Amino acid sequence: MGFAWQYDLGAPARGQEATPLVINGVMYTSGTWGYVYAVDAATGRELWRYDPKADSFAARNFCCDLVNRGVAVGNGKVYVASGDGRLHALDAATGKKIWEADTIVDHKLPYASTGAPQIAGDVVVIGNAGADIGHGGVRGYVSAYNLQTGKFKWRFYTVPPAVGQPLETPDLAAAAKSWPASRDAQFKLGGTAWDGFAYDPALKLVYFGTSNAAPYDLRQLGSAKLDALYTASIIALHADTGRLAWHYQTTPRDSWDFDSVQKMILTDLTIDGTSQPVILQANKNGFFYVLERKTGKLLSAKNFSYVNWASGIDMKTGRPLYTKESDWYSSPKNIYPSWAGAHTWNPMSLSAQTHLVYIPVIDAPAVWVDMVSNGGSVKYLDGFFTANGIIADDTYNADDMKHLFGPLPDLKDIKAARKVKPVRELIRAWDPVAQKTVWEHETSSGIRGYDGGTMSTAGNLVFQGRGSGGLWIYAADTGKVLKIVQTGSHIMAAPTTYAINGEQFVAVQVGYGGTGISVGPIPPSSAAVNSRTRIGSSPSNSAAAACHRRRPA
Amino acid sequence: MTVPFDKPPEQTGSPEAISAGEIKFVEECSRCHVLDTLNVTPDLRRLNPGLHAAFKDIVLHGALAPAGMERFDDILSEKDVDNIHAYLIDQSWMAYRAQEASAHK
Repeated sequence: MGFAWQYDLGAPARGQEATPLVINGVMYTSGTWGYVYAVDAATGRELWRYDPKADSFAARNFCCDLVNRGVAVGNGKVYVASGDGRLHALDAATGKKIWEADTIVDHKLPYASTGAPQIAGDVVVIGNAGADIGHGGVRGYVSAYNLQTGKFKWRFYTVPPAVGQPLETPDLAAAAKSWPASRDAQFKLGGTAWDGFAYDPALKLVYFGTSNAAPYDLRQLGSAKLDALYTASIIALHADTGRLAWHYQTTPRDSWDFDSVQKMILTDLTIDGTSQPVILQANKNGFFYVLERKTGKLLSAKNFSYVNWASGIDMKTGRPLYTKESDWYSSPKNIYPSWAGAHTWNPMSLSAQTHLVYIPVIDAPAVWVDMVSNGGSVKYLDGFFTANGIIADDTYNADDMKHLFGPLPDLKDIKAARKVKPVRELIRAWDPVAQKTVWEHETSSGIRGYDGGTMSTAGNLVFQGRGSGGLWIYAADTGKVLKIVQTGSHIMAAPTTYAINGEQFVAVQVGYGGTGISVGPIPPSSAAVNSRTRIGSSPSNSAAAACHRRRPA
Repeated sequence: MTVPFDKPPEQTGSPEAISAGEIKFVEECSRCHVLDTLNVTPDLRRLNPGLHAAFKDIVLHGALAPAGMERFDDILSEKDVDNIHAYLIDQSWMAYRAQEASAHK
């Protein structure tokens, strides 16, 4: 197995997060801003390239680089959402635009679009991002458009409108009751669906997760301790109407930026002797959820990574059992997992052979601080509202940050609380039925840019790229390292695999960026910044690379 | 990887301006910009004379919008931008002096 070809995704050289789709020998994928590429999957020869001509002002609205997480392909068309929130349908043969729809309801708010669209029956579904941006964030929603014509079909808002405004759908009545009855209209409440869509064609249900509430500090909305629906939730909608089928809120009253947007796996699992259609999600909040996907019934929830914000999930109520350590309103706290998660957008994978799920785990805490009350000079931080979540890695220095954010926990104490170093990344092979880790490796290239999503194959292999540019290949059952292919640039995306004329290829997009761009919580005046190491061989290298091997006869 | 720091321009901002600039930089810029040698966004301690001259046009009016740096005149005042500039020049001098000091060891 070795290098086959590479294809240059061109400027601007920013983070690459999409996984290519290969159909009839053609590879389709998206890159920065929502550029779309079609290349010969055997040779890497370009067939066409589409420039979405996105409005560059939207660059301000991305939390974490000008990324795009992929295309949807069907009925001879390629669908992509450009960063400025327009949905484009292209002719798959030529790359020519067939229709375009503006999915943004209010361009004065900091909306951006970074997720892959989802085809669901006769519609294509897309959400957006922005729930962390500015002073009030955005209001989350999901829109559906006719596949052929682009005609708008339905919209599901995930959170209620401003107090006194009419509810757009009946589903919002329950949500409206879960927020303080009187609140400042500058806060748009968040709950964005910025990635991670899935569809069950038999049930005709669209699944997605929602982001954090806006703002993070829910006290600013009122004193009532309410759940803030439907933020930090997994949601199922009827594809034909956009009406709510069910919801499960993974983090009620989220104040930790625990988006529930991580890509879900739809499969059947045998639990207690019965085969059940399920959704699997390794949530940002550190818990691995198994939900029955017709009804949303919680089947199991167990932490796959170290957590201290909750002691577990109450299986009767489905609610987390919050700990004292989770409360950063009263004083700064070092909370596991961080806002980067225990797991974020980077796809996990399920092996049909081993029945294990391979999770790219971020085992990292954030020191959460209420900047308004903690005595520092900074009271607001774009991307965090009036809170700050500072990743406590080796560059963290409470003394250096004191003038900006007030007194913070000491790194010595943070380190003493764990036997392992506070910030690390791992690949973890997780048994979703037994709810335990079967094997793991530390993969840490550094929290500044995550290691990649995973892919598992029918040949007992697991692939994962790292920030160092290496594409690591493991035995799926034992975790034994079989091979490392150096690609030359940071890998965040998950690979794909396909066969052409008897030859098996693995392709992965490489390119540094993503959340690595947005390390705002480290104050620029601190020694932290100056001593920080960087990962990835070259930030200017963004490409799709493929390796291949002859299939055994 | 060590790329040497060029000598920064003269600091004309007051200590108060530098301090105010630091706060504003953390609030409104640090989501995308950190002061480092290798990042997706440029190290702002390494601005060349042309970029220093165009600083206000870049930050307020989007002179480098095609590169991803959009205008911020709806969020930042001219004074904010002067303060941020003073802070960046201060950070540039700190890095430059540290480099010169280690060269003379």
